[in-house]
Amino acid sequence: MIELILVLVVAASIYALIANDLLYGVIALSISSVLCALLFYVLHAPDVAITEAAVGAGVSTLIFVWAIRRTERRDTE
Amino acid sequence: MKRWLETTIAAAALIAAAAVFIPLVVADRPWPAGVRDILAAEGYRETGAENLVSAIYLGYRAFDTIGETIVLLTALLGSISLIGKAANSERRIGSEAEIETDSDRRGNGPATGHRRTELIDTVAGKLAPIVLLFGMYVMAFGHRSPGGGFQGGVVLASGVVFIALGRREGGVGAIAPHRKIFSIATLSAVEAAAFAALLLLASAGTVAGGFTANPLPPDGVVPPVAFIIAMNAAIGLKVGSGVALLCVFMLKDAKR
Repeated sequence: MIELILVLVVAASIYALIANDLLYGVIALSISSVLCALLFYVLHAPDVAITEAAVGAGVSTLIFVWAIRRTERRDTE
Repeated sequence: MKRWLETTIAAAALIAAAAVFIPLVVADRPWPAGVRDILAAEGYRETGAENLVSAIYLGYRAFDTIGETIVLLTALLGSISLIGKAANSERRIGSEAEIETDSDRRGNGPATGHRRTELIDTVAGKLAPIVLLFGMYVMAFGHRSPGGGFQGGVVLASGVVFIALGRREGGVGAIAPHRKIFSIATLSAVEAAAFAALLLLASAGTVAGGFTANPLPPDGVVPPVAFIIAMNAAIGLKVGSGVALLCVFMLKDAKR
C-alpha cells in the first residue's frame, strides 16, 4: 500500500515537472498532495493528513491557478 | 533539449538529497527518546487534552505556533499589497483595453468569467455550509480528535471560498448575496480580533508561569484544557479569515 502510494506520488511529481501545460502540472501537484495526505493517514498521522489535504490540495492549488490566470498558461521553451 | 537538461539537473538534485537522507533513515543508531518519553507520560495529565499532538503544540510549544501565525500574517500582508498594487497599475495604464474586454464579456450574456457553468455555482453554494461546519468541528475539537486551530482554519477558509464562488455575479447558488457576513471588511475585522485574542491568551499566564503558559490551575473550577480550546479557536479564526481574505482578493482580481 505504502509503496504503491509512493510510486504514484513520484509519478505525479515527475509529470508536474515535465508538463508543458502549466495547468496540468498544477493538477498533477494537487494529486500528489492528496496522495501524500492518504500516505500520512495510513502512517497514523491524521493531523498532518488534514493539513496536507487542506493546504496542499486546496489553498495552494487555488493560488497556483490564480497565478497561471494572471501570467501564461503554457511553458515557453 | 533544454528541458531534458533541466530534468537531468532535477534528477541529480533528487539523487543528492537521497544520498543525504537515506543513511539517516537506515542507520541503526537509536532515535533520541528522552523528551518523547516525558511527553508521552506527562502530556495527557498536564494539559488535559486527549489528542497528544494538540497537547504538545499548544501545551508545550505554543510559542512556535504564535510565530507560525505571525509568519502567515506577514506572507498575507505581502501578497495582498502586491495584488492591490498590480491591480492599480494595470487600471492606470490599460484603461482603454479594460473597457474593451468588459464590453466583450458583456456581449456573451450574463456570464462574467470565461467559462462559467451553473454547476460550479450551485455545488459551491450548497457545499459551503457543510464545509464551514466541518471546519468549525475540526477547530473546536482539536483537543479530542485529529485537527486543531490551523487545520480547522484552512478548512473554514475553503468554505468561505466556496461562498465567494457561489455568490459571484449572476450565480444561482448564492447564499444571501445581499448579506455582508463574508465580505472583505468583516474578514479583516475577524482576523484582527482573533490575532488580538491570541496575543491576550498567550500573555494571560505570564505572571503564573511565563509567556504562553497555561494560566488555569490543574485543579481549578475551569479545567486546564479550556486554555487549549480557546487557543485553537483564536488560531483557527485568525488563520481562516487570513487565508480566506487572500483567496477572496485573488478571486476578485481574476474576475476583472
